[in-house]
Amino acid sequence: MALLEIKNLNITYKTDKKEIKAVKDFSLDVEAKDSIGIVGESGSGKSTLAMGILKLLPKETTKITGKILFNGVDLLKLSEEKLRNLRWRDISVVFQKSMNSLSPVHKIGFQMEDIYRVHEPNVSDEEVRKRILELFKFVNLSDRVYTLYPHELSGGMMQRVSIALSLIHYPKLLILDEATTALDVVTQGQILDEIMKLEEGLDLTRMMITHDISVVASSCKKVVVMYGGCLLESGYVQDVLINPKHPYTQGLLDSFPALTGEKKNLRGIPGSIPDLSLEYKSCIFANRCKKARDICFKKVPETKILPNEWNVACHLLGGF
Amino acid sequence: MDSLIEIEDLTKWYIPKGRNEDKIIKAVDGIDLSINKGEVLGIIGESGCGKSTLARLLVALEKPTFGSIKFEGIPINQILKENRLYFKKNCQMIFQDPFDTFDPRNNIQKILTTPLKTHDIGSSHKKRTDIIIKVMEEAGIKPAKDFIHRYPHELSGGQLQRISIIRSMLLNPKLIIADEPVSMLDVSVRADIINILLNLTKKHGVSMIFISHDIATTCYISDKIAIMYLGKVVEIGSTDDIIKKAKHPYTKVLISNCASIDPFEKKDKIKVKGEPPTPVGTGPGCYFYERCYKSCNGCKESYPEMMDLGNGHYASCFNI
Repeated sequence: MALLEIKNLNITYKTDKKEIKAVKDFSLDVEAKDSIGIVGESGSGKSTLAMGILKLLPKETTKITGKILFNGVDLLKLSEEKLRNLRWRDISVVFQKSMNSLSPVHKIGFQMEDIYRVHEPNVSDEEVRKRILELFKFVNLSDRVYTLYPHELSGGMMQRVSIALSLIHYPKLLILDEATTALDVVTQGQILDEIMKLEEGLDLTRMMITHDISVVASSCKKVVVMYGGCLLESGYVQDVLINPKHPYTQGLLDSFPALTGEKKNLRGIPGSIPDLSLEYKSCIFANRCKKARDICFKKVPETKILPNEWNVACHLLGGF
Repeated sequence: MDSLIEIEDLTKWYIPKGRNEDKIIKAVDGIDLSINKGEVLGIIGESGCGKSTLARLLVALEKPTFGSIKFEGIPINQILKENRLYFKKNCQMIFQDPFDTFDPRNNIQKILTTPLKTHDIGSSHKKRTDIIIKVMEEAGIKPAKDFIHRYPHELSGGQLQRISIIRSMLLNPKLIIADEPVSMLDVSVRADIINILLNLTKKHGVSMIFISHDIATTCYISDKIAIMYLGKVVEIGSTDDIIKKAKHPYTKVLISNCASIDPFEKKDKIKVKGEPPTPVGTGPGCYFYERCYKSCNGCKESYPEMMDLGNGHYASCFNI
């Protein structure tokens, strides 16, 4: 059994006038100890998905259907109290601006102790301190940070604190939602290396949400490509990014300039992202797709399963 | 080739209240550069290295503390006094966030015709509108008539950044300064914007300064690259020389930490110590000394001179 099984997940935002389908019929299995990258442009539903897994979306304005099984338990059916126990202890998340959620009037150490005690109220002071210093070592922070205030740290250090915080209860699933996007190249590279090194010793599954394919290429085993709330292609990084089958994945890879190797012309994807309030009876990417045929405008493509856990949702697969 | 703009010892210090010498923020700290006609110069650096301040100095949005900027051989202070409009016409800027660039109360027609009116181009409102429609269609906004009555919030980021580029090109400037023009945009849109920018500059023989933290994109667009660190240019040279024959340790660190979209390409990332520091109380030694992996005692004592490595390639490091 996979650690996280998402089955036919639909997430809809309701407004007065219309319904916006941010995630559509999304299914994904995440095995324990996997590292999986979810890539897509803005508006592709990747952050909604992350929020949906933790049920952090406002109840009044969102409708979630489908199943999210974590260790066999459906998260969508859990009570708020049980969910609260599960968040941070079993599933934790680091957002792009997680560092902004640190309190400016308390020292880092105090805030971390506080959070540790929420789930472990009966531990001794020494134990808490030991655990926090151990985490600092994990993310390459010096012990000095314990007594500093957030404003005394740089952006990279604060994001390291956020990552340390997310690991405080040995979670099984760690979701990083654009956690390294705001950082400089050098700092980002170092944090990615640290995360990968740290995984070796822990029983940790990582889900990495980003718009930057190069981050996924250098740090994940598997990749999921999302567009307009749908899963278009998923599989192992060395398959999908080397030999992409879906025209959208190909377009996305062609939009990235390469630093080394031959200089090739950049090709973007013309057009803009789809209006998610409309009902689509065609392939969602069809109107931007260079290879679209008649069938693409008439039918929603089924997800085809290729060997090696490679899923592609395209009509033209095999018959280009 | 004739040089269009020449910068000598350009310095911008922000001096805090009380004139505390130790706390001067040396945003730009003595830069020598020259840009030839029709050339694209890329400037790369981490956040806080002064690249945006440099851009603002070049379009005279900030006044330098010392140093001079010569535009076509004449100091810009003199041009600004004698013929302000001439300088403003020939030096245009593209900002990072297109939504912050325009007045939200003006529609696209007003936004684009205002500069024409100011510089007395086109005899009537109708003629000016015809000019902007022609330029908009040239830059891929079709049909332009549908767009001119829209307001900035009714356009997507990519479309609005195109308007920003069109506005900067309208007056046929000699120099365009683009400060992170694509970092706000989605990857699939980015390639299009870059191509438009490149086509327009090549077609009209405009020089451009392209400021970015993204090495791969900058390499794609530039003829020449300058690497900045804490207000100083540490290495400058042709794009090929910088990528393949980088000499300064900081350039090497940046390049080795640039993630690739190819999962098989495993690079040995060069580690640096510490975090990007702030430009306060720097010197007297090499500013990169504390984080450098090659540092020796001499680096601590004086700042290394720029060394000529031939073919317009310069680097400032003792260990070349």
